[in-house]
Amino acid sequence: MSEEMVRSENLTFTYAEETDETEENPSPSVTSRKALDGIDLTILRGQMIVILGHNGSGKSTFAKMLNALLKPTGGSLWVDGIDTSDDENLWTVRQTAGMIFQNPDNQMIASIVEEDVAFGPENLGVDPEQIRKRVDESLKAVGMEEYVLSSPTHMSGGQKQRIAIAGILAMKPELIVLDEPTAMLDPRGRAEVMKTLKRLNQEEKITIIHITHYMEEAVMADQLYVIDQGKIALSGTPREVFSQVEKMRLLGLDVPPVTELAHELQEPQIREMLQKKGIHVPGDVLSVEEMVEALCRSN
Amino acid sequence: MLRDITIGQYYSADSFIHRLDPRTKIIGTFFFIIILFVIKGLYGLMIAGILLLLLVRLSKVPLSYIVRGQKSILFLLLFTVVLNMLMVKGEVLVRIWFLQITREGVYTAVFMAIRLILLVIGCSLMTLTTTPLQLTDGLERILRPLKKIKVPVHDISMMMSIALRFIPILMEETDKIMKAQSARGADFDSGGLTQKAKALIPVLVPLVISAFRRADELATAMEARCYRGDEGRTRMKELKYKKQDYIAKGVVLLACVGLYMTRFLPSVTTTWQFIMRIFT
Repeated sequence: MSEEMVRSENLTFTYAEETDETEENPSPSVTSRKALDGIDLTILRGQMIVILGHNGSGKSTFAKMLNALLKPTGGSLWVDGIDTSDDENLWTVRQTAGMIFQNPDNQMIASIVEEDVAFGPENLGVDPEQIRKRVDESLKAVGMEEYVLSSPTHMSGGQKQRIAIAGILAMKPELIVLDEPTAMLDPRGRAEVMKTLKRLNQEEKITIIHITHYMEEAVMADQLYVIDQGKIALSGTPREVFSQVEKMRLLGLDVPPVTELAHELQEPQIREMLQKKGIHVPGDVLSVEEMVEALCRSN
Repeated sequence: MLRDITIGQYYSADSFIHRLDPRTKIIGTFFFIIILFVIKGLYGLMIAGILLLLLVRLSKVPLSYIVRGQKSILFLLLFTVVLNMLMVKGEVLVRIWFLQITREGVYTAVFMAIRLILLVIGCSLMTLTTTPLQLTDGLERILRPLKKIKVPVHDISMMMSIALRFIPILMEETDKIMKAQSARGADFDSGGLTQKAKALIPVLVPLVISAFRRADELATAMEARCYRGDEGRTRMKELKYKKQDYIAKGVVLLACVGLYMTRFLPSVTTTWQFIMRIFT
């Protein structure tokens, strides 16, 4: 087992787009659009990674490539040392890198929780007894063990998404890729899912790649990548990335409100005023708690 | 209205019927349907009805829940009844213009209605006590011999189970779209039949588009979870006949033979005449 979970070298993906015949353009042609353009990154085992980017930045394309749903059109991508462009590795890659999608309803196959969780291991050809064990363990890991025999129809979005995560866990993946898993959830559901992810990362040591556009969720990452127009625009720890408020704004992204406030307090005049009163606020505050602590320490 | 359809829905409970192997239930229902159409007299139907009620009790599914699901077949029922009453020739009871209602017609109509109701209750009992996945698993196993002649049995059963799974979701969506269109001034309630049908177009178009999008997403999610058809696939719950299944099959067989025998009973009218003759 290597320490590297994911490695990409000059990873490129091009969508072929057919243009329709129009008056201005009488001959239909195939144009290509680069969704990903030379991505180089290395993700270590056990890390919690967040990928940020606005719509159409190529972040979902990247997610699909990690699961070999899309194959690189240029460059290479290795997941757990396995080359994703090789068809022979297809199912190994998909088992290693589990994937969660945005809409919880559209990724459930069965109408009973346990049958849905069992779907993955059944496809892998796991022993019936072993499947039973995995289903129970996975549901326990996401805190949904009471719902084994329930129907997901009447559940909240957060619960459904946790069941989807259990369905992936039952396949024993090394890596879970989540493509905006909280986009359709209410704040409570979002918190539930985030708590589950954090626990899986810390206790089960599963590498997590979380694609989102909620900045609050990005804060808890070990490493943050901002993708813009198919390229990595910024990367680093959340503190490093969010301290570059202007650059983030230029990319059309926000930073957490507290960070923005802290950043604004860095203006020379304001800073001077604050310093006169003996208050010192660092420019890279990530959460409200940190801000409170910084303020208390100043006095 | 849409929420009342109980066909294809699962009612979660723990009962003898719930625990039966799906194959037993499918075969049992199949025989029940056949015997319903073999029965001639009213006696047979009555006995079949009583047996069915007993089964419903045994399944712990509230009868009212099943009955509510019958609303959806009301139209079909009326249609059959009216058609039967008017089409069957025989002793004329009422004549309106060129339409005539015959004694035989009324008999057949009542008969057909009871048959249909029993049939739908029987089928809903099966789907209510069996999860869709079990149901399709059962079907797959029963039809497995057909695989030899290249019938894609697994694929068909997978499609069926997904279709059943999406019934409640699509219904919810229909509701949502209808409300959204109502909010924009769409009117679904007034006007004649053609107008009402036309009013449904703005509901159906988004519904179909969304169904396709869902199908696409679901296919991606299934692929991501290593779905690759039947090959190398195992099951968490391998279907295995247990003692209770043999008992149930025996009971079904006995009941079928018994119900078949009712053919040889005198008809209700003859019995009635016989009783009357004794008393007079």
